[in-house]
Amino acid sequence: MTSFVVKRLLLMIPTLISVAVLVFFLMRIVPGDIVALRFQGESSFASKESLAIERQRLGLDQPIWKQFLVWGGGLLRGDFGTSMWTGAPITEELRLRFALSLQVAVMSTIIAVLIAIPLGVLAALRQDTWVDYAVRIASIAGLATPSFWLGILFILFLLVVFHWLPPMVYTPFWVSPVQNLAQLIWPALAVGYRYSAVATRMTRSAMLEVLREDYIRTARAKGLWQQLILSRHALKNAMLPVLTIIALEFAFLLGGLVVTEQVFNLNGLGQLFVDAVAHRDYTLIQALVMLVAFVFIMVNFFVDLAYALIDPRIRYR
Amino acid sequence: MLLEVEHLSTEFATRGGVVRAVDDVSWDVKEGETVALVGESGCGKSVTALSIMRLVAAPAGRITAGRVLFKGRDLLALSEEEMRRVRGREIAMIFQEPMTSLNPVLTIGRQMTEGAEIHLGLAPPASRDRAIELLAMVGIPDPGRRLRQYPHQFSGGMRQRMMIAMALACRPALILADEPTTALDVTIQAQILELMKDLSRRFGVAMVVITHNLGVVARYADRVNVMYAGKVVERGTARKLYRNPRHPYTLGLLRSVPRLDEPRRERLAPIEGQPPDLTRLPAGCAFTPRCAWRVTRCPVDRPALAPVGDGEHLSACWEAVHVGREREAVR
Ligand SMILES: Nc1ncnc2c1ncn2[C@@H]1O[C@H](COP(=O)(O)OP(=O)(O)O)[C@@H](O)[C@H]1O
Ligand SMILES: [Mg+2]
Repeated sequence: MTSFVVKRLLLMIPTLISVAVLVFFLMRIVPGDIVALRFQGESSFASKESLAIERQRLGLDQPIWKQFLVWGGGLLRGDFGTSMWTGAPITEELRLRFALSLQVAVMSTIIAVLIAIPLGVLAALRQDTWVDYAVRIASIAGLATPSFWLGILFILFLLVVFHWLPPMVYTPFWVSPVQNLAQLIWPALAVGYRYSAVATRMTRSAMLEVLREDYIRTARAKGLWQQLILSRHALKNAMLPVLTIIALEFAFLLGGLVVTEQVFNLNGLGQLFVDAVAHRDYTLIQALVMLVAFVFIMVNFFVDLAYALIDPRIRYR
Repeated sequence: MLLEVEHLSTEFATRGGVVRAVDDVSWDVKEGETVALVGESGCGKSVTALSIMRLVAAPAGRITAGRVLFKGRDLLALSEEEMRRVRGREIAMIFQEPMTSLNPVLTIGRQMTEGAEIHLGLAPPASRDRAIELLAMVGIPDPGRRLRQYPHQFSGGMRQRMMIAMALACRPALILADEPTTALDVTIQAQILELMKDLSRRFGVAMVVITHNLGVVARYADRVNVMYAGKVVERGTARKLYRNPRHPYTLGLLRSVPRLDEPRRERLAPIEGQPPDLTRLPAGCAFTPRCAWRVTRCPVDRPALAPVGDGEHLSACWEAVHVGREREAVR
């Protein structure tokens, strides 16, 4: 088990290096650079010289491999550099936004799991009955409903029924848990419901498959209680594919909630991502991609770990 | 009588029609006796065993008629909860595929002890001791360490030994063994059968051994039921059936397996033709198209299981009195 963990952790290093190389060079292949964008707006008449001076200031006149080494060196020290657009230190900028996005993503995932697993199991147990159909309708509705729209409904509902609006300013959890949750529970519910849909379907089909396995028949032939068969013999096996789906969705939740963030006035990573791309803010995009990639790789690591803990055939390989 | 299966019928609703997997079948098992259920693949052996345990896959599968009297109680009339208390406690089952019949993510110990914990109320240390004792009894070395392992760390033969130990955990009165050795090597098959025979004697537990190999079964069973297309076509003591089969199908089965007790005069001959489609069973005897002894009434008139010679030997064949190994050469 220890060697398994060490091996996985070591494998992260080449992955992260590949991501760094890819994002760095791909960004520079995309046409239109930040300097041109800044000085040559719709009605710009900046001179060639001022463009060159700006390039020099941002270090964009250096050979590309040198730029990469400078940036990579910073990364190794945990320094993302400064934003090319605003000049602000990126690490500072990201800290709160990352905390917020991570919290929303974690809460949404927890809510999605809390919805998906009981409903998926129930649908499997009551296959082809009205319960199954009701669950199916609920999950298809979830898929078809944009979470920002659901978020708007939540806000309207709270306003109309309770004459109350969730806080509009972010309070970190460690400052005031109540304030923090009062603001973030709504987007987490809206997003969690939507992302429970796929996991619900996956739980249902994995459960149906497992319930057809021979070892479930063996468990029944032993005279075990139905609940014990489900909780001890079936659920563990059915969780493996569900885990993968949930992990994949988690990575998306971290950076992909642009509109939902706007609806709830959250300064998360989503809007920052969009702005950074629009501005060709190389350093900021690089920092964001590295951050999301890192979280994604960590999540995958924990999924692998969970797989190994659940399935001894992987652990002992 | 320990177990009496009376007029049991089980059907499956499929796209192709209603499969009559078990069709009005009756047989019984005495205390401590070993009874074999023999027949080609697909003749309804497993479904019979699963029907007794009431584990036929619902909703497609349904027991449509009959009674299953176990110690005089009709299992088919029990509530689901009452039936659960019979499973594993009074009737245990051993399955064909030791690979897939054990849960890959639970330890051997967990799977061995849960039955005794639930049915006998044993606390974990006691159920563990019992599991160790049982594993040792079925010939698994170092059982204490083995309990902490997972099924994939066991060989096929060991897994089947463990399944046998698991079946014995609550000291059931009856064990249904569905092709317990089919997935194993020939040498290991013999060991496992020996072990089962030995244990059934030691504990006085009755056994129903399901197999498609009549040659195997003759050495281990007291009585044999031969099944064809969901019906019992011949029944008798293993010795009688082996020496003097009275149904053309049994005769065919015997000719298709190697015999150890006589010189190889003839080559092994599998029965020609295919088993019938269970959704469209003929009015007469289902074996007719494959039968060398058929007479005019066979396709239209189904013979009932009736005594030939003494009352212990029954055959469902119009020509039962003529059918026989010694007469085969004459035809
Ligand atoms: N779950 C099922 N659905 C439909 N048909 C089934 C099912 N299980 C068994 N059958 C049919 O019942 C018949 C008897 O099967 P089975 O008892 O498994 O045969 P065997 O004698 O080889 O154990 C077969 O024709 C099979 O196709
Ligand atoms: Mg079978």
